[in-house]
Amino acid sequence: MKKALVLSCVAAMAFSMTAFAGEIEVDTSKDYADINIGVSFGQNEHPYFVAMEKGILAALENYGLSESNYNLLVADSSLETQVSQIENLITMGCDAILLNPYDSAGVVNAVNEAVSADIPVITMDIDCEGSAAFIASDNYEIGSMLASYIGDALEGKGAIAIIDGISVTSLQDRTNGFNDTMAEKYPDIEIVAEEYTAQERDEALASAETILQAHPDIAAFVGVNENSGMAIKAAVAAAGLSDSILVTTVDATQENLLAIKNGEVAVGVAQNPYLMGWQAVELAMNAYAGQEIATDELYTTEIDYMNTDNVQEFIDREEGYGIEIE
Amino acid sequence: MNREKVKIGALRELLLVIILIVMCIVWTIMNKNFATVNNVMNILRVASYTAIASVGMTMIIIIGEIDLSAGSLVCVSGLSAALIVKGTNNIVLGIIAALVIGALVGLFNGVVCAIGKLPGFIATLASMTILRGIAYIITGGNSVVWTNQMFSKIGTGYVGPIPVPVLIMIVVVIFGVILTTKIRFGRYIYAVGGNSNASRWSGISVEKVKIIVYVIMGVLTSIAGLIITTRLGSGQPSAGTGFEMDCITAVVVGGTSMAGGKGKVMGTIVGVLLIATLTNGMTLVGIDTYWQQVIKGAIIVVAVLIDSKGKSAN
Repeated sequence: MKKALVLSCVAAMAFSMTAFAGEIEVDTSKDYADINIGVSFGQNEHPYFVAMEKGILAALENYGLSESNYNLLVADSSLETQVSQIENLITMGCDAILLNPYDSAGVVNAVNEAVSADIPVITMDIDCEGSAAFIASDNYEIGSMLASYIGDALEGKGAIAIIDGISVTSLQDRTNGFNDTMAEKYPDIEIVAEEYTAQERDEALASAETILQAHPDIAAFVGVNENSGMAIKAAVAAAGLSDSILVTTVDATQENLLAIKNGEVAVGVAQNPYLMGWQAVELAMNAYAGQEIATDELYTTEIDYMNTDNVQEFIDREEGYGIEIE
Repeated sequence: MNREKVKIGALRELLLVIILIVMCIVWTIMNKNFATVNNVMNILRVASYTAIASVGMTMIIIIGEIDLSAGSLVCVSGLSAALIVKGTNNIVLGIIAALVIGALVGLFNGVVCAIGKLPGFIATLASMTILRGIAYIITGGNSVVWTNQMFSKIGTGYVGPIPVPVLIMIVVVIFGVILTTKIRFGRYIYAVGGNSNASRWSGISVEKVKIIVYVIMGVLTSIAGLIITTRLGSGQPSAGTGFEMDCITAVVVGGTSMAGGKGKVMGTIVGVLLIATLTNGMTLVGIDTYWQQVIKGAIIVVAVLIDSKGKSAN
């Protein structure tokens, strides 16, 4: 009985974490002046990570810390580089490592090395084994939300195409979330074309153009990230099909927000990488203060639909973070 | 003896064209949308920027060098133009800036390679890394969005039924063919690649030829960069990754020898079209993305095997 109570309390806490993201409690009476946070990003080519870094910096500033309290390393899409960066951060004697793994499986050894040196590793956006905590959006849910939107907009029937990917977990989860929801809830919608080219924009664009040659009569064309969404937008516009094809995208980036505002993209799902960075710093501070951070906990950050009606809210949100949109 | 050689060379190009035609027939049977004017323009547009830079890459490989910096230069030249158009709304200034940057990078590569006596592989590996770093520095990792719709027309516009990038490609290909076959400089290129010592003794400035070829490559690459950037609709610091490999692939498939001294611009163009048509057809009929890569790799091996057989027959 007592156990059940504790469990439900934990569940309630986890729920509140989901509902009121950004409210991780930090004991401000402690002195954090000497904290040394190491950060390693797997990629550096996307506004998404720019926002995440801004979140990290803003959180540091919020707690009276400065850039000297953190070390940001960027692996430039190279697993080897990232592994050696993690090793360097361990050698430097960081108090916590915030990690966005380039490859979930590939960083495990380096992460274990950190764990055995008593350095907690907090993963952002993409998880890996051995992490103390994981902060991300529910990517499966993002895919599912896109499917629900399309399914309802098409009233459960019609032909659609999608550009997705299976090479990293975040894209994979979105792809699965989309396909599962489609198959379950909207069996009469047919996916007539699917290409796994969402990671590179020029490849996604070539795929989108070619798919539109074969299937100009589709009712919706689904992109599951900024690169695929913006590539599809360009291809649909070039083919003069903007009026008949619904386009989707993911992330509240400058290009996505402007495309939704201009009516070129029907809907997007917004994540909050800024908040991920912010929360990761708070968790690192808690770990530094000697607080237990629950192992393997998933901290999900909010995800929302963006459309022409509410896009201004997201533009304001991002500009409030100091990110240039308009 | 010489006539025999010409015949085999022509036969080889004919073979590539035959492969291309057979492929077109297969795709036409498998998908009714393949043989439409729209789709042909679509293929040509996708092929255009690779073709433009590959004209330069052909000359680079003929002189016995290589250029690995093409992808990074595509990115930096396109980004610079995007930033200038975003800031000043002056398209001409943006285009000029991109071309000048292309020429300067080419000059750098050429000087390091010809005067500094570094292998082109090393010289351009260095500039590839430097330029990619610069791309992230000037953008901070963000994409660059402009509002001037005319600028976007470079990559997305049409003249009649023909996309603008395809027109640019046609001009560049004519330039490349004339340069390599009709004027004296073209003969120098082959001479330098065939035997640079011999050509030095016969009075050709090997250094000058190398530098000029790298500058041409730089300018053509920046034209490709302008097209790619305006086609994507925003400047991306990650754009053009792996682009140099697409060019090298097209050149090799088109029959230019990696050892230098031999090759044709038209062969390269057939190579580009072959790969673009293959990708387009496979996507139209719905072949899995990863199988597409496997098939593409297999076709490259087959094409180059035909090439080496043709050579041993020589």
